[in-house]
Amino acid sequence: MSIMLIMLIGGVALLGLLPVVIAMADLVRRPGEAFSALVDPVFWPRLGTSLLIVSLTLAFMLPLGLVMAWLLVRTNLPARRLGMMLIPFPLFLPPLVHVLSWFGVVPLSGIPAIVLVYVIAFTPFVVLLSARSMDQIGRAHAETVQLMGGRRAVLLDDLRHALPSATIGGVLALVFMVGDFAVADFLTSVGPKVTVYADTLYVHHQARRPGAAAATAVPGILLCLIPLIWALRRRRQLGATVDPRFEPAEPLALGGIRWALLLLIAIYLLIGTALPLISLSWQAGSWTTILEQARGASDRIVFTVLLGAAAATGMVLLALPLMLFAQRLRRPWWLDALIFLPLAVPPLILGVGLIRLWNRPLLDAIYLGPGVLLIALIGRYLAFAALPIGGSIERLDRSMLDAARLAGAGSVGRTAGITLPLIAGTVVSAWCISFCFTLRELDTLIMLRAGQRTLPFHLYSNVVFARREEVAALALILAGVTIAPLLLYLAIARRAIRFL
Amino acid sequence: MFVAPVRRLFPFTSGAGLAAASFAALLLTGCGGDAQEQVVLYSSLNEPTARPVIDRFEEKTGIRVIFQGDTERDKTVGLVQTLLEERHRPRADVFWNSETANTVRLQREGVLARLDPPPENAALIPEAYVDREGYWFGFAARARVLIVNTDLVDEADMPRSMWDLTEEKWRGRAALVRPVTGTTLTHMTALYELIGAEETDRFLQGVIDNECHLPPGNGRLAQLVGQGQIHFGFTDSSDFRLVKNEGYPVIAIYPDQDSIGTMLIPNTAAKIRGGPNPENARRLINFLLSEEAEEILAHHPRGHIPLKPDIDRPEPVLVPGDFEVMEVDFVRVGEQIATRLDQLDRRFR
Repeated sequence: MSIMLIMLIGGVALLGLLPVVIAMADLVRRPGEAFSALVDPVFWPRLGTSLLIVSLTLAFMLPLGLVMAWLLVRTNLPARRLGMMLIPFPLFLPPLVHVLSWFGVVPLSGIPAIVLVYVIAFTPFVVLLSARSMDQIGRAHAETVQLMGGRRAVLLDDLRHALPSATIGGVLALVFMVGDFAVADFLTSVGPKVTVYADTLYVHHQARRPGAAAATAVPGILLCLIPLIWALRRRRQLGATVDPRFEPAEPLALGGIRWALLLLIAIYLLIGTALPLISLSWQAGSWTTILEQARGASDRIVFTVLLGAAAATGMVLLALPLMLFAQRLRRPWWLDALIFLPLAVPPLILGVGLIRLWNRPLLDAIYLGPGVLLIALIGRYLAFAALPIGGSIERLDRSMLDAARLAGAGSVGRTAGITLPLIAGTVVSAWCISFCFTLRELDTLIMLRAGQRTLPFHLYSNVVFARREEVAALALILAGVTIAPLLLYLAIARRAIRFL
Repeated sequence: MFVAPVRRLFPFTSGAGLAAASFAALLLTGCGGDAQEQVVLYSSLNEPTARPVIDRFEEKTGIRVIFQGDTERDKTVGLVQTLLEERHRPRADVFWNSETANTVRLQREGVLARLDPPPENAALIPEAYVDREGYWFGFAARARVLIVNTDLVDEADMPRSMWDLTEEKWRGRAALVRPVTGTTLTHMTALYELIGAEETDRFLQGVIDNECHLPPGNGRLAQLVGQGQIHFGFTDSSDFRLVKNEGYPVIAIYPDQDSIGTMLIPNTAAKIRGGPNPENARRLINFLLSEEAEEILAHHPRGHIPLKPDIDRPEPVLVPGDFEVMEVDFVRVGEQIATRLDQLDRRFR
């Protein structure tokens, strides 16, 4: 293992792993408390409820996402390019914004409403990741399959090909669902209450039982990490590198039904993006309210954008060499685990770890300023830069790199001359995705002083207390700021973002 | 030609070096010293509510207040966790809590410092709202009221007691915030102390059996009553005022006036042990306990209830004396709250 790789992994460990380890040390420090929490009869039913919600969500989300990806990538669906460009948008509106924006109008509650919100909010994970896999299906392969088994065989083969990627998408959604209690709490305000796994974590924190909080976090972390590592491994096994002579498969002709199928995509985009934005605009009332709120929060907007941009840049700069070096690893599962662990850890635990690690003499400049926020964001969301960049590097044609090596090009030359130009689009996509996710973060940043300067904090500190139109205007501004880089990317690149 | 030597001298002229230098600069932003006097305030209140008081303090003293607040969604858990984790190297000077229980718990965890002698403005605060040992001081309270939608409930049927939540005629129409956080948890813990475990358990089981709704917070509960989705429920007087100000058809009933009285939960101010600006902490606490601060909070749209006598306030804001107040030992409530939290979490699973 090279010194560079050791340094990179050390950097990842410092940013993401160390705070987690420090916080999870409470497991060892208070073993009795940890054990009691795990045998508590209240805990497992709540985990069961969360699993039920997650399972139902995945049961709807995976087929819906796979079908949408298939329609958008492998068929002659009208406006499929535009559809693919618009599909990520619901993902970048936090679930609570979906809830606030249209559940006031639609009287849905209970588990069906929770599942519906999650399906709407997280299906783009599955679509984006599956689409990238389906993109790699070659013409010769597709024609052979069609010749042997007809159109049905093509569909099944395409789905089989995309399933590991779809699973990764499902697990990414799972990470956000398992750690969330706010959506369930809000959507069961009226009617039977649904308490979930994350409620137990919260109660342990509130009762000041750090050992119990750490112990109850473990099943959630394992629940996220194990399928994720399996899916990443499976995807590597299936994911062939792109042949330079690669010709994409011809889109399948859908016939007259294509307009009806387009309606499916249109309805999803309407519910997932247009309706929330229209609802928020309607609640905000007028442009004057939005402009007033933007003026009042201008410092926070600038701070949040700069913080998000710096964090996304940091993530890409770290992910790029890390993923290049990861190609040399025979068993990269431990690196996957290292990168994804901070994402799977409950945000309050990560916050505790960050305080314990960084609240020290001589580190005030980092701890009291935006430095610790950058560290928190890069550590937590590195996976969102590493996943697309790693995926693109894996698909590079090795023969080109081998030829360059034989011609005498060093590793820096090969990276600068071949790898970077080929994956540039993905790097920009990774930056956009990372930026968007940093703007969703609240629960960890709330524990850190500079986190108070962010726009999400401002929005959530006004929910309930401010007038409805002001909250709607702030939510709209946050949505606008979050998706602005994505819009810019789409306008310039004129193609969908790459997620894997 | 000379680029290479320059790069050796200034490695950040390369792309990666420049990025690294920019990153380091961002990491260290905030490093600069600040000559102005300051005090660090952690508050469970959201900033828009606390801001008018802070602004006035800054105006009067020239001391800059660094504010770390909270959101309704987080329910003070993150903030208290931060104070506990920072205990060995405190970064806050003052904790302004919107209730009492977490303040007492922080005192028991050794996070708070005793103010001896007490701040001069503490003199007129009623004894029940001040810690006997001088660790915390109450001011600007909120009452636990029943918010009622007047379009849905006739005058003759108005609920008058907490026990109305358990009445058959209100089955599926009343609400109580799931009592595992905030003022509702404090309220239920106080009931255990005041009317005993048996009666409180009977009340809570009645709430469950009567299919009361369990919204996530008092603000949300008040909104739901205002919108007519729920007929009535327990909330804080401050949340009632916000909904009332929005024009919803609601009134507040101060419950149990013929029996145990209405619970009053004060804001509390406490000094952090080992905080970086101890003198300014004392000055800020003294200001929070002043008539001026109580007056500002009484005139705030949330209408806090002054604890000191003769504070100017808008007409709808009632004060002790206008209604019977429940007798509560806040220290005892704070000591019991972790135990009750577990019981309530299990009961309302």
